[in-house]
Amino acid sequence: MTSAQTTLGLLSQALIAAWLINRVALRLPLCIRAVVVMGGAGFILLQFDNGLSAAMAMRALWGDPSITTMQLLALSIAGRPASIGRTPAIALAIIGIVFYVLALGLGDFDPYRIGFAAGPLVVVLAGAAAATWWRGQPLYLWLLTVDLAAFGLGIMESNNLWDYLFDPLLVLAALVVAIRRR
Amino acid sequence: MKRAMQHWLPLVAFILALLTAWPRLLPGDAMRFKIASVAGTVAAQPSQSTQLLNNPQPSAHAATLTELADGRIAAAWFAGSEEGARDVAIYFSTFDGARWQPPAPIVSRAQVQSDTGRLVRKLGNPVLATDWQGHIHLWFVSVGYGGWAGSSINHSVSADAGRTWSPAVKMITSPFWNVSTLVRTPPLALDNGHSGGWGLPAYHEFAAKRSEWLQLDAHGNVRDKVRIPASQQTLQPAVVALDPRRAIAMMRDTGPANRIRLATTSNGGRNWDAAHPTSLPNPNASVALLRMQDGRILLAYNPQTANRDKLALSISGDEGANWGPPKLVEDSAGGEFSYPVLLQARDGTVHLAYTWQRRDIKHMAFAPNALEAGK
Repeated sequence: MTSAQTTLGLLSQALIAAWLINRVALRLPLCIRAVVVMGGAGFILLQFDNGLSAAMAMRALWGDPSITTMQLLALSIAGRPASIGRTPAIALAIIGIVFYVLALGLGDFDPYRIGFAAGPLVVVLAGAAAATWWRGQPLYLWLLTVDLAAFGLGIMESNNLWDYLFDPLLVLAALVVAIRRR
Repeated sequence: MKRAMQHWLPLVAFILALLTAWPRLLPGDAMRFKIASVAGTVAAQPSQSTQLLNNPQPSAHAATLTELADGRIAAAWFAGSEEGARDVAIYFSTFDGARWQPPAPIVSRAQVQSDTGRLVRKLGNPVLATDWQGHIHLWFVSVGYGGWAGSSINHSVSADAGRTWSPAVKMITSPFWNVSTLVRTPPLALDNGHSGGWGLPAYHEFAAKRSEWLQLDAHGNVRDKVRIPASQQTLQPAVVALDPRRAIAMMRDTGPANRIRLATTSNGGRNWDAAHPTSLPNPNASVALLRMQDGRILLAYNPQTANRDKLALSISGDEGANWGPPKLVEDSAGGEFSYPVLLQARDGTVHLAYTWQRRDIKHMAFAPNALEAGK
């Protein structure tokens, strides 16, 4: 029996595939693109004779994307891509790289631990998100709101808040944005 | 009015989300180890035996032991055509005090793949433990891509003494594609109110080697993860509780010092003091620890800085500060006797199991007084 968390994990891989196909098929008429995107996303969920699907292979490679990534992918596919901005992208890229290097064993400090009793982390993030909301940019507060709600409901396999906030693919995307945008 | 609502809506939604998440954002209770009450449980004549477990495959490795609610001893190990092969499965057997039952596979690669919704290329190190309800918990590692450094941990439970097992659940313990958290050594039961939980020794291998400590709730969910300070180049911490708050961990040293490293905690594993090398040699091989009912600590290890062709037991009567001379249980040049595991049953019998020549698992059961000099 597949758990709800496993189902969500597999669907999140389909979401990544859908975003990639959508990017490639941008020039197709909308209705045809929708069929191609949904067909492609559905295809990667299909299990073959050996019990494997492309989504399972992708999931074994990079795990489940964060809730933030899922939101951004969904907005992009829906034709309402979120404009993150270069400065936040640079900040996320730097924080993410330092975070992963430390979490992978450089030194005695493991920042991943902070995400298990994440009250102080949420206070810092909420302060930053509320400040941008006050300046008329509610996007970050919305992203954090959905992340927190998902964490509260435990919809992912992880019990660590970091895994809901960002993931290596999102940090990689932020790095690309930080380097490309001038 | 509508504009004001649009403005304030994100903040209201955020507060609701925060309230939803709040219980999961708080730190857990203070950690205490469950110390088994042993008064009056020691049998007069514990059983004595030495036998192989009749592994049905060409290769076997990494045994783990637990005592079942009915007093039988259960073992699990991984076996297949060779370590890392796609046909490797987790095997399980029980010991009734005289004989081991024929082993049976309880976890296969295909089943884990289906249960966890992820490609699985190979299975490895199992760890067994029995909780206060008599349920057997099984943790084991699996790999999707790459070598053992790409491992992650899975958890399964049996409520019927190992006949059937729940679907394996993937434990998320690392933010980078969940790679590189492994288990090898048994957990300590935690005593947090009635719900319990586990302190599970773990380790990290990718990019850097580190010993770690996972705190799990009674259902196996990860609630905290602690990196043992100064544990670089160590793996597979073996942990025993000295009292409800204090414990020691002894770690495999991957070199170059080749000395077993030791770390202590005095707050139930929430924080660990910096690990330091002991005088005990270690050939980059797993060790086992047991706090016996008389309070002494028993160590099983390879007492050399290279090779695994000797296996020995040593005793400490002062909580790991000093160790007695090694008592050899295996000594055969060119052989491999490795990955020991220790258990003391409620009847007082000490059980030692280990990889024997990579072909089988060997089990020895003996009375604690057999460890005294000359016996």
